[in-house]
This record gives sequence, C-alpha cells and structure tokens, in this order.
Amino acid sequence: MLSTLFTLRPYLLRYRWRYAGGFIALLFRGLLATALPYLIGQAIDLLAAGDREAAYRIAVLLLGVAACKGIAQYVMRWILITISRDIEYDLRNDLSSHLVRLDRRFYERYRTGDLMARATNDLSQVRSLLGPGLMYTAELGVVFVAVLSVMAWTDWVLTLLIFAPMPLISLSVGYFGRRTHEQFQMVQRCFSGISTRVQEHLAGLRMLRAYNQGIQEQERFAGANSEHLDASLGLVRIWRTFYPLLELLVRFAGIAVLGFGGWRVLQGSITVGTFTMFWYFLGMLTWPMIGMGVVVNITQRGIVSLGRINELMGNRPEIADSVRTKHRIQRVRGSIEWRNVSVVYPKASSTALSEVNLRVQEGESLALIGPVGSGKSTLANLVPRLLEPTEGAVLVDGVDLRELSLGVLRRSVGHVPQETFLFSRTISRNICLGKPDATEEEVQAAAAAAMLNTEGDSFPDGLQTLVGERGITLSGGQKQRVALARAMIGHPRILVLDDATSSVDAETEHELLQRIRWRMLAGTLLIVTHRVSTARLVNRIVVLEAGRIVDEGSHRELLARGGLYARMHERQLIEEELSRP
Amino acid sequence: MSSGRSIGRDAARESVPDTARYDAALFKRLWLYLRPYADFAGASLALLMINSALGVAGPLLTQVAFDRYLKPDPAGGSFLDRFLPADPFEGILAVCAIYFAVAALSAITRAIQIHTMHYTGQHVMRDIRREVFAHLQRLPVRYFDRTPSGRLVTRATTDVGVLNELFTSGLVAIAGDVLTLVCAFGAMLYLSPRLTLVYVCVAPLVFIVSFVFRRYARNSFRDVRKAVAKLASFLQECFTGITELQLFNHERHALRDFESINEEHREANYRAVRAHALFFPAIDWLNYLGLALLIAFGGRWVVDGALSLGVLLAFLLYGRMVFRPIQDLAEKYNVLQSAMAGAERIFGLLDTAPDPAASSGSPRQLEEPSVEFRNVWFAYDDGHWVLQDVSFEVRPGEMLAVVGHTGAGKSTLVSLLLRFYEIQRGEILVGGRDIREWTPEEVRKQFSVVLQDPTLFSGTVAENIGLADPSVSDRAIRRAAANAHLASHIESLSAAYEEPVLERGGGLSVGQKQLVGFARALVRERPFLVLDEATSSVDLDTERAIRDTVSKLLVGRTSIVIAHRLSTIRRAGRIVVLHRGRVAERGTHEDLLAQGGIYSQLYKLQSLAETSEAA
Repeated sequence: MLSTLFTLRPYLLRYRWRYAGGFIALLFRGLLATALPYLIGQAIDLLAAGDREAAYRIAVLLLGVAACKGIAQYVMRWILITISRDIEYDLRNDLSSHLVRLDRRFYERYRTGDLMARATNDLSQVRSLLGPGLMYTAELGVVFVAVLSVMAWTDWVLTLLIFAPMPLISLSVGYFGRRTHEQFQMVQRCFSGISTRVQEHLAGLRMLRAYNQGIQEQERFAGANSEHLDASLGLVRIWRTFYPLLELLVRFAGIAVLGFGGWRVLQGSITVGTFTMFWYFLGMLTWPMIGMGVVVNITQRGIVSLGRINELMGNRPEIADSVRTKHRIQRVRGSIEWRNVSVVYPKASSTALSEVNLRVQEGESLALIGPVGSGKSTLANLVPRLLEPTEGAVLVDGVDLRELSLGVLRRSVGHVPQETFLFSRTISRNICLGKPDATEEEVQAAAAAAMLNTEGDSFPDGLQTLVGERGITLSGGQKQRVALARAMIGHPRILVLDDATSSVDAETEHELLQRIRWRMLAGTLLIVTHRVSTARLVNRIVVLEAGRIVDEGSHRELLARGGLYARMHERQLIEEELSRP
Repeated sequence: MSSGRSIGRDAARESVPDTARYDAALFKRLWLYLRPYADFAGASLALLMINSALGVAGPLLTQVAFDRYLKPDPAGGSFLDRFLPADPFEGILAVCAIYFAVAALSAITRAIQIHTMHYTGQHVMRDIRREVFAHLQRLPVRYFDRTPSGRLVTRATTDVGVLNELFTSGLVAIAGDVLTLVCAFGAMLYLSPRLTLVYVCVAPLVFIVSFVFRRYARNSFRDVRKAVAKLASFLQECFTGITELQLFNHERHALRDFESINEEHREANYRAVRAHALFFPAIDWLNYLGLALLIAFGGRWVVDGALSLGVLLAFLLYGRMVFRPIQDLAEKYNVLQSAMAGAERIFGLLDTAPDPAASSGSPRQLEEPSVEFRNVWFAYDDGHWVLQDVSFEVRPGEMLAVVGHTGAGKSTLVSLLLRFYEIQRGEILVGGRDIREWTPEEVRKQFSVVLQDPTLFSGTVAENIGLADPSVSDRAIRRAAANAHLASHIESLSAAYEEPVLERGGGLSVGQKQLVGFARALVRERPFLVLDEATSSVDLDTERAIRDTVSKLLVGRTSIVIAHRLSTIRRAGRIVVLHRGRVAERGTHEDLLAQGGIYSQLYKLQSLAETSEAA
C-alpha cells in the first residue's frame, strides 16, 4: 500500500515550500479556533461575576479572533487545495504524455472507456487524497491536540467522559461509509441493469414486436426495476441506522457534558464558563470525528485509484526507438522489402501472413489485392511500423525498420487507412496534422491533390469547416480525401493507401490516383484494395489469399491466367451493372 | 453586465406567472404518483415535524439546568420547573434523563422518517419507470426511427432519478429545514423575544452570503464541468485517433494542446477553490458575529438582571443550530429546478401519442394461410417511395423467395407485413383479409419470424430462444435447439441452457447467433414463416447447419423468404425479383434464368461469391 504512494514522492517534493506555508496557516487556524470557545467561556464567567463592560470587550475580541481565524482558514484552504489541483495537473500531463507513446498492442488491451475512467475519475480520487484528504487529516490532528490539551488541563475526567463516544462516531462513520459505498455500487449495477434492459429492448424492438413480446418485456423490465428498488432500499436500510445512530452518539456526549459537567459545577470544581466552553468544544470535535471516517474512505479510494494509474504508467511501448536505432539516417529514399515476413496476431488461430517475400522499387507503384482477411492490410501496416513482423524483417532502403528512427520513418511514410479518424477541428487543421507548420498554400495544394476543394463538396466554410460532433458530418468519400490530403501534405517518400479510396466512385478514383501519382513524383506508392477497378490502374498487381502471395502481374496478365483475380473481376462487373441506374 | 442582468430579470418577471402555473400543473401530476403512498409520505412529514421539535430540546434543557441548579436565577423560570426536584444533584440527573429520552425518541423517529421517505421515493420511481417502459411498448416503430435510443434510455433512468431527488433532497429537505428554523425560532422567542430580535439581524446576512456564494459556485461549477467535458472529449479523441497521432508524429503537438485544456481545467477549479476558501470562513465569521451580538446585548441584560445566564447560553447554542438550514435553503432552489426539468421531459415522453394501429382492428380467426400484396406503395419519408406498386401472392403451403440487389426494398416488405409501418396505398391481405382489420398483435401471432439481425439480449440461452413465453416449454426449447444444430454447443457450456448470454450476444459466433434466431422461429407453431436471410458469411459447418435448419423451418409453413443463399433460392416454388422498389421479374428459377435479366445476374453474382468463399 505504501509502495503505491511512493510514486507521488516527486510531486509532493516539488511543492514542499507551499505545503509548509499551508500547514503553518493550518496550525494557526487550529489554535485560533480553540481560543474562541475559551473566550466565550471567559465571557460567561465575567458576566456571572457581574462585569457589565466585559460583554462589549469580549464581543469585540471574539470578532477579531474569528476574523484572524477566517483569514488563516482562507490561506490554508487556498494553498493546500490548489496544490492538489497542481499535482492533478502534473499527473494528468505525465499520464497522457506516457499514453500517447504506447503502441497498438496496449490500446487493444485497454478499452477507451477504461482509459478515460483512469485519466479522469481515478485521477480525481488521487486528487481528493492529496487535497481534502491530507488537509482534513492535518486539521483533525491540530484541533484534536489543541482542544484536548485545553480540556484535559481544565478537567481531565470530564474530558474522558466526553471522549468516550467519540471513537465510536469515527468507527461508525468509517463502517457505514464503507457499507454505503458497497451498497451504492450495487445500486449502480442495478441501475445499469435497468438501462441495459431499455437499451436491449430498443435494439431488438422489431424482433420483440414481431413475437408480441410486449407483456413479457414489461415483466422482464419489472424484474430489473424491482431489483433496483431492493438495492436502493438496502441503501435506505443502512442510512436509517446510520444517521440516527450518529445523532444519538453525538447527543450522548452532550448528556455527558450536561450531567457530569453540571455535577462538577455544583461541586465547585469548574466554573459555569468552563461548562460553556466544554459545550463548544463538543461541537468542535463532533464534525472532525465524523470527518475522520470520511477521510479514511477518501484515503482508501485514493490509494486504489493511484494503483490503477501506476498500472498504466508501468506499460512500456513495444514499438519505439532502441539501442539498435541508427540515428544518423535522417532520410528515406523509398524502396521497400518484405523478407520472409510472417505475422501471427495474438489469440488468432491462423497466421495473418506466412513467409511473404516482396520487393518494391523506389518510385514504383504497386497494388495489393485480395479478398477480406487475405492479409493485405497487415502487409501494408508493417511499413509505418504499426505492428512488427512475428518472423522475418521489413526493410526500407535495405535497412531493417527496427534500426530506423520511428520519427524519421513516420515522417517518410504516408499511411491512409480505409476507416480514418478525423479530429473535431476544421478540415484545414485536420490536414495540418501531417505538417503542423504548413502554410495556407501548402494546405490548398494538398487538398487539391486529394480533390477536396471541388465545388461538389459544398463545405459551408471551405477548408475552415468544422468536422465531427460540433461540426458537419463528412461522407465516407470526403473523409477519405481529407485523410489523403493529410497524408500527402508532408511529401512522404512512401504512400500507403489501405483501401483508402473505397468510398470514392470509380471515375473520381481514376483521376484521384493520377493526381496522387503526379504529386508523389519519384515516391513509392502502395495501394491496398479489394476492387479490381482500382488495382487495374497500376501496372504491377500482387494478389494475396490467406496470407500468401498467390499471383503477380499486370491486369491483363492476371485476367489471362483466370485465377482468383479473374473471378473477383467478373463479380465486380455484375455488381456495377446492377447498381447502374 | 448590469444591463444583461436587468434584461434577465425582466424576462424572469414576465415568465413568472406562467412558470408558476406550469409548475403547479407539474406538481399536480406528480401528486398522482405520490397518492398510492400517501400514508407513508404523510407519516414521513409528521415524523419530520416531531423530529424538528425534539431537535430544539437540547439548549432548552441546558437552560433549565443552568438557571435552576447551576446558577439559580429567578429570571430564568421554565415550564419544566414544576416537574423537577429541588435538589441540584437529583435535578441535574433528571434533566439528563429527560435529555436521554429525547435523544432516544429523536433517533427512533428519525429512523422511521428516513425509511418512510425513501420508501415512498423509491416506489414512486419504480412506478414511473414502469409506466415509461410500458408506454414505449405502445409507441409506433416510426417513433423509434426518429428518436435516438440514448435519449429514451435517459428518460427511463437518469430523469426518473432526478425526480426522486426532487422528492427526497428537494421538498422533504426544505420542509425539514423550514421546520427546524421554525422550531428553533419558536424556542428562542419563548425564552426571550428581545434577544431573538437581536439575533435575527444576522439571518438575512447569512442568507445573502449563501445565496451569492451558491450563484458564484454554480457558475464556477459549470465552468469546471465544461472543462471536464472538454478534457474528456479531447482524451477520447486522442485514444480513438492514437494511430493517426502516432503516424503523423503528432504526439507532442497533441500534448501541447492537452496541456492547455488541462490548464483551463485547473484554472476553473482554482476559481471554485477560491469561492469555497472565501465562503466557509465568511459564513463562520457571521456565526461569530451572531454570538458576539448575543454576548454584547444579552450579556449586558444578564448583568442588569433582565435576562438569566441560562437563556443566554441557550441562545448561544441555538445560534449554531439555525445556520445550516439557512445555508441549505439557499441551495435547494437548484435541485428543484433540475428536477422540474426532468419531470417535464418524462411527461413529454408519456404524452407522446401511442400507435393508433395498436387500438384499431379486432381479433380474427385465420381461415386459410395465404398472403397477398396488392398494389402496395410505401415511403419512409414523404415523396421518397421505397416500394412502388408491388403486387404478389403467396398461396397456402407455398414458399416464395424475394431476391434483389442491396437497397431494392426487400426488408421493407417484412416490416410492412408485420405492420411495423402503415402503407400509404394498396392493401396487404393475410388469409384474404386486409391486415388493417386486425390488431397488429393478431397479425404478428400468425408468423414465425427470422429477422436479419437476430439481436440477442442478456439472459439465459433458453430465455433467448423461448423469449420468456410461458407457452413455450423447456422441452420445446431443447427440441428447437437440437433442430437448429445448437444443442451440442449449448450442452458444452458450463450451465447449458441456463448459461447467461452476454450483452448483445457476446460469446456466440455470428453464425450461432443466426441459429438462435432460427431456433426462436422453430419453437413456435405458426402458419406463416417470414425469413430475412443474413448476408454475413459464416464458416462451412455453420453454413451447412443453417441450410438444414432453413429446410426444417419451411416444412408445413406458408413462407416468404428474403433470400441470399443459392440453396434457399433453389427451394422456392416461385421467385419475385425486386429492383429499385418495383417487381422487376417473377417466375420459377428456371424461367428467370432463361430470361437472362436481373435475376440471372444476381444468381451469377451469388454463385461467384459462394465459390470464392468456399475456395
């Protein structure tokens, strides 16, 4: 448990001086807060003695001390809570800068929702531990020691009596807090049960209506509904014991003051002022005792959350520069070679690629074609090192990719997947992802090469149109062309189009590929496709099936041989025919 | 800024009467849900009153103990004096005993009050949820096409939860606060009207400070929430687009952007921290201002003999008691506002008109199992015809295959036959009668249906096949599973038929899900079969299983099959070719092939697809 907390050490050290200031303010606040009931007690004693002027004097003094206490409290809160916000800020930056370096494997293991939960909820739990958690603990300590010293010094027997129920308060807050938390999670589960029921009902609406499941569905929903009711009532059962019990315990302490304190007054061993002071101290201690239980829970949850964050920080990227990296290679010319490459995905039964050997010359255009699952995308993904070959090696300019700096490689390889991701920014800024310092003209040129700025697209604000949730929704073809512009703006030496024009119609595609070829100049072009109409635009076509290269040649040669390629061709011709208006 | 506020105020003033009337209507409607639990709600309220009254006893008892025993003072007489012994030691003990009784009684009433209050709230919530869900059953399919399902889920879950808040943390808490204030001020007035007047001066200050703080805090919380949302959506984008970020060496830029959003989040929180750091000391200082006033004025009166010390002490204790309720009241307005909005949304859904078709028509007996589409026209949106003048007939016991390219309108046929939508022109006849003369339920009762997407839901395997139909026996489920080639797989599961299916059928393959869909149809003895074949490809074994199951399904049923598989198409007596919403060709397989039209092309396409998959 403590080793988990150890990761926070550098962050805590960074703010050590501010922490010191905050704790000094905290100390002052505690001492001044203890002085206030003492003043009230004094007032009562002086009034009992008939000192008429004492009333004013003490009232003014009371206000003055209270003001100082207020200032100290303000400083304490401000410093200590802002530090926790600062550490939260640091931690979140560090976490995200770690996460963006991790590779695909990691992102396949952790779902986005899970990562989000850790970067937001868990982080704020850790923040609560460092801010309110730490502050309340220290505050409790100071108030306790100060109040206890004054009380015990005045009348230690009475102090003991008052204190008898205090630990019970803390314990019951801790215990019931935990039970509430557990039961609350149960309620949350039942709550998601309800929402799952509704979701599933809506998803299967037609099937359920077709089978007249109305009444059965209502019964099933009633089941989830009453489960939720039961869980909630379970929570109510905890509350209905907890809150009254808490009040009762606090009142017991009050009875102790009244009874035993009163007895002491009658005995003459304490004054009525002291009696009053004890009443006030009782009030000062009750809230901290309740707070103690809360602090324990904050601490526990904070440590669990920190553990979950540490787990992420413990992951190392598998695809990254290493000692083998030759940093002196800063440029890539563009020939690619797959040498005996095999790829097996984890948990998959068959190999995605087996012993593939293929060479592409610098400046050449090559099409990879094959049915779904033939391994053509895997082959292409190896080039920008989105994944590593299980066996064999991929070489660019004769250099193993594992010896090439990742930054240089990715600057030199443009990769456009079929399903691309556009960020919710302007189209122009999405294109600039490939070259953050690009000028307006460069963006225009890249967009033109990707045939983006034609009239047909009708973007309301041209390239400054916002896309995504708050902007417009682009069609599949538009998205693909934005991605294409994004890949080309940096003038990569190698361009990999992984089914990247599948949503563009055949005629546009033809012109698009010509423009791309023109812009790429002497660069290497790798086109992955399942469409014969796309592949035939390129001289050299490689046919893949079940992870192996089964054929290679020009469109005409492949058709003449009448294999898989020819069958795909025939099928696509009919589909075209049927789709024609 | 100031002008903006005054405009806002004007607008608020204008809308006040309407809002009030509206809120009244809303409350009236909510009262209908509360009425079944009126006993509990009433008890809760009564106990709340008792509890508030008991709550003020502590300082009163202290006053008595003080003025009668600790520092006897004739100015501090009390109604309790008659019952209390004269001996101080016995007296103190008696006061403690009374206080103990009060504490115990208060704990008991509080426990029952909490129970009755939440019991009511939770049951009302359950009832509203039940009604919302039942209402969903009555809405037409068209409604669900238009409304995002996320929104409907929220209605049934979060919005109802907010309503509960309205009841428990809203109305009841306000009642509790008001009662505590009333009781405390009552006790103070009883002890000393003069001193009460002095103390009451502080109350407006507390209220104002709390109100200003709540307003400021609300704004800063809104900023924080916005910043959190921004952080979350940025992170979400980064995680979803991580490949893109890495491919374009964009990590560092993204981090820079992230840092500035993170900074925004920190700044927003700083403001919230400042508000809190100011508010708590301020409210605390006001508390001491109250005490200082009491000591300054009350203290003088005590020395003058006009007031007893015990009364002053009681006031000092009450001073602490009334602070929290005043602060809380300033906050409650928000809870009420958001709860009213939730109620409005829920009632909006409940007021949506149900499917008119559901109530029309009457139960009928089926005379002969035949289906006919007669000049049917249909459009989802006005003017955009999906089906145009479609006519065909399925004779009793016959199997009709409907084929066509993607988007020809095949699945729409199924939706119309099952009366998910009403056709615009023409008629659909089942057993020679227009389906509009039947209730939709009666029409659907005639069909075994296999839809393209089998949609499994969380529940056991058996439930997924039997659909919680009481008329379906376990034996029938087992037989259907065996016929659909599922038995061996199901029996290999650890809990067999009682094995839970994960959400959306996780754990089952695509083919197995389809087979579950077939088993659903097999389990029911119905005169008609409607089968909309899935297009997704499955492995060879599953393919064989599906073929076999289809042939079992066809036995003894009048069938309409939206067919993709050659094996299914070849089984059909007659084939209708749908093309762009019209019947383009019709006839037997051989006739159509000989025609060399659309059908022959579709046929060739499918055979190419099936051979390349088999290869």
